[in-house]
Amino acid sequence: MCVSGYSTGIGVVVEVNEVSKSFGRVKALDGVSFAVSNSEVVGYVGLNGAGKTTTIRIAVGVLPPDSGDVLIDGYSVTRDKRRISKLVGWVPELPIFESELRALDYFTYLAGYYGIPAGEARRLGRELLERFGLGDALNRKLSGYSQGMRKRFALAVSMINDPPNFIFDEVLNGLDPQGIIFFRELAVEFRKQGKAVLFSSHILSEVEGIADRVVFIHRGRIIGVYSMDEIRYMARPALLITLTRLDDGVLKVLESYGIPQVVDERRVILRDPKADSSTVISELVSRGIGVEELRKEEKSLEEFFFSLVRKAEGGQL
Amino acid sequence: MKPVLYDFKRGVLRRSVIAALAIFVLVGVGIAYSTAAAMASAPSLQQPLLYSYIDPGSGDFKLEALLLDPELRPVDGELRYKVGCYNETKLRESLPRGAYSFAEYREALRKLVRVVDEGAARSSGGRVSVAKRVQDLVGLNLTCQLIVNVTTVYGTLTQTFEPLSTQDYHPVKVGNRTVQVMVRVPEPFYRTNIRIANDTIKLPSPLDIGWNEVQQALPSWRTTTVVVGSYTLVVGEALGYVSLSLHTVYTAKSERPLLLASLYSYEDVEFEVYLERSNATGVPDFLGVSDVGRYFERVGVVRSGVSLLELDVGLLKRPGVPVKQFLRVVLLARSGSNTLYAATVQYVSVLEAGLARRLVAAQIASGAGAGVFTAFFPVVALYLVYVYVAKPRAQGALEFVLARPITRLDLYVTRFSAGVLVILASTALFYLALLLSIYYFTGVLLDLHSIVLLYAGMALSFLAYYSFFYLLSTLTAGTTYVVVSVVAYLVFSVLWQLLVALFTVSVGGFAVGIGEELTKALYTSYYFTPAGAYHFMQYYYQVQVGGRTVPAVESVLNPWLVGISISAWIAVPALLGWLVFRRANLSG
Repeated sequence: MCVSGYSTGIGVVVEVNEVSKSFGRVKALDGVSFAVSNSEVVGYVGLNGAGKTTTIRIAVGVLPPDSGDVLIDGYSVTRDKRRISKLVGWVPELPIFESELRALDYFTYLAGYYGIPAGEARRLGRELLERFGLGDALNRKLSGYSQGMRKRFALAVSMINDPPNFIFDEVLNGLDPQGIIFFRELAVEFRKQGKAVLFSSHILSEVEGIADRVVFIHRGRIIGVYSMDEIRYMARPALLITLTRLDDGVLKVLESYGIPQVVDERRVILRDPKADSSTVISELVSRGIGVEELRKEEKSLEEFFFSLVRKAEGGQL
Repeated sequence: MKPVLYDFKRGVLRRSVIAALAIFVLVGVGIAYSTAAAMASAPSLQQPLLYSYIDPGSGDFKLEALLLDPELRPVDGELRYKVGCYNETKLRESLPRGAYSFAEYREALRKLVRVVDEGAARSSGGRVSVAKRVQDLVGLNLTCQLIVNVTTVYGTLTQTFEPLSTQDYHPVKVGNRTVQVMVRVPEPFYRTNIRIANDTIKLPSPLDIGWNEVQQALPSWRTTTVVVGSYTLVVGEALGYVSLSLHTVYTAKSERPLLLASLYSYEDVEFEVYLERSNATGVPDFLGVSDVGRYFERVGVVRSGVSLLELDVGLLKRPGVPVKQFLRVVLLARSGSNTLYAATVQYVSVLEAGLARRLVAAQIASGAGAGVFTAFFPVVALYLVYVYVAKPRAQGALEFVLARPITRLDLYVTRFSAGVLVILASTALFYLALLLSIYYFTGVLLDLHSIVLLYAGMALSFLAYYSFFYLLSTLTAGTTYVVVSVVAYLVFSVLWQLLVALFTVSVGGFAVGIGEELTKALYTSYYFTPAGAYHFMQYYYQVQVGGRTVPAVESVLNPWLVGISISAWIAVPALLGWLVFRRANLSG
């Protein structure tokens, strides 16, 4: 686990530094820090309202932080807004546009902010919108776009200058399976291209398979940063065994069947068991050790996530 | 394309904005039309040049006219006419024996007159020409009356030309043929006979000014019973008549001297017109035809009909004053072996230019003029702010724009600037439509200073409204913005004068001079409303075109404060809005 939240990789390009933000009396973010490196997809996972979107809105420069800063390729979002916006693409969870406009017109308008002349912008717009499956809706009003189309349009806009960093905010929400696959593959593709990708979700399994690391946030605080290997390891199956007695001899027996972890004076968790539960019980009983209860614990990724949340709220992992 | 231009384009090209602009352009045209209609239905300020000829032998009737604007420029319009005739013998019989009054004469005439022709004609280049043969005019011993009604954009004028007035048909007897002739130019006009010169011509003395020398062919019974003006009776000499008037139309920078002529000659020949030189001295009363050039300047030619001669600058007027109060005019023509001539002494009429312009200018700035636009255009400003900021902000759409390589200040300024461009352009569009329509309908084009003043008033006022609504859009969003800004619009645009009046009356009561106090209070209050820029500029505009100030307004009007007020109404709300916007949550 990387407690600081910083990547161990070389070339940190998105760096969130002690960012805090309040809305009225509600503290949305409290000293949030983490980083994303080149060629890395980082999952940003938290429950709804945890502060993911607020962090991202600050990171892309549309919301000013109360304190702290976000650096994109070394440039401050609070001081170099124009520059950082050229360095990061953003696809929001629910992209909202001035929807009375037609897609290609709006694309052209937004491209104007990148200094692209109208003719070139329209050509680029056609190319990108067609590439992202919107070729037959170029001249349709954005108000007529579905949620998936809106996200693709937002993606096309964020690709205007092909930035080296991308932030997807709950981008898989509301998408059909085809859309989900599209964005997951896109994140992987971006990683291959050496881009840094921050991929937020409130479902840990959504980032499984694409994220290299996951940053967990809860109630405005970072509650953990784990590599996917660490998460899978901690989420592997275990046996919770309640015994009549628990001593070193018993632990020694259990070590030959897995990794025992003492919970209390009579309970032990046997992680990564190498045999089924009946074999373990037979072995313990044959050695005169009474087994009062054996419960098989199979922790999913989500259970792991919730266990982190519980721990953050003062409970046990 | 730069985003500000794109925002401008999409601001202008919105269907609602296009519809509003189209309405405002139509309103501009409508205002121009109603201005022209109001002027046209008012009494005319200018008489036309008229020439009419009736030949009772053949029934030929001819009417020519040149319609003029208040500055004596040809102007188009419509001329309606009615020719009535009566039998002289019957008239004499219907009148009482001995003395009778003018009223009795008119009444007897009215009963006997029979309309023999009437009609209407549109002018072209100000000229109207009617020529026809009217069978009812054929007959002996007929006398005629002509009623002319002229309508131009500068008003309507009805003139009656009838016997015993100074505007009458007069007979010209040539051989065995007698025709009735009427020649008329705008006042001050002087008529004289056309005669045959016997090597010398008799010049009228300046003392003859005011006398119209016209051959009288009134029957002896009438001359003995009716006093008819102050005519000089010259029997048997006239071969035609000419009516002339001299004018100079001036402004501070220019003058336009001209001579108007209406002429009938028994033979349609060309008359050379000579005007007495300003430095001519010792002009004899009898002048040889060949000596005319010594004392007179040839200024042009005229022939039967109506003529307008533009004269060279300086012939009639030096800066400020006419060169001479009276000038003599001689007309000379060759007819076979004879020389025809006419000579008058003319008073030089001095006209100040700009009357038509002042009339139009006052209409443009009135509540029924640009006032209509200024009353309703703030709604467009309100809507623009809704489109640019309030609505996208309420939806959360501004965040996606802000994610582009711009700062919040860029976004704020870009959308503000786009609205400013829309306002300046649409105001210019309305104003252009108004001015061009006014020009089309009336021929009047305001001077640049006046144009700029009124445009600046409207544009600055709308910018102040726009800035204020922009501030409101940073404090509110969506429907709340609409409600708040509509209330603000109603207060500033509709209720303001009423509120100020109520306040003034409640403080001061209905005292003597309440009108002046209300004016003062109103103009003082204009410092505190976004509409103030228009009211201030409207006042300056009216001073510019009318040349008169209003003491009550002047007492509270300080140009520095006006400038500060207008600047503050535009800049301060925009700046305050930025202070809010720079930290605002734009997620909707």
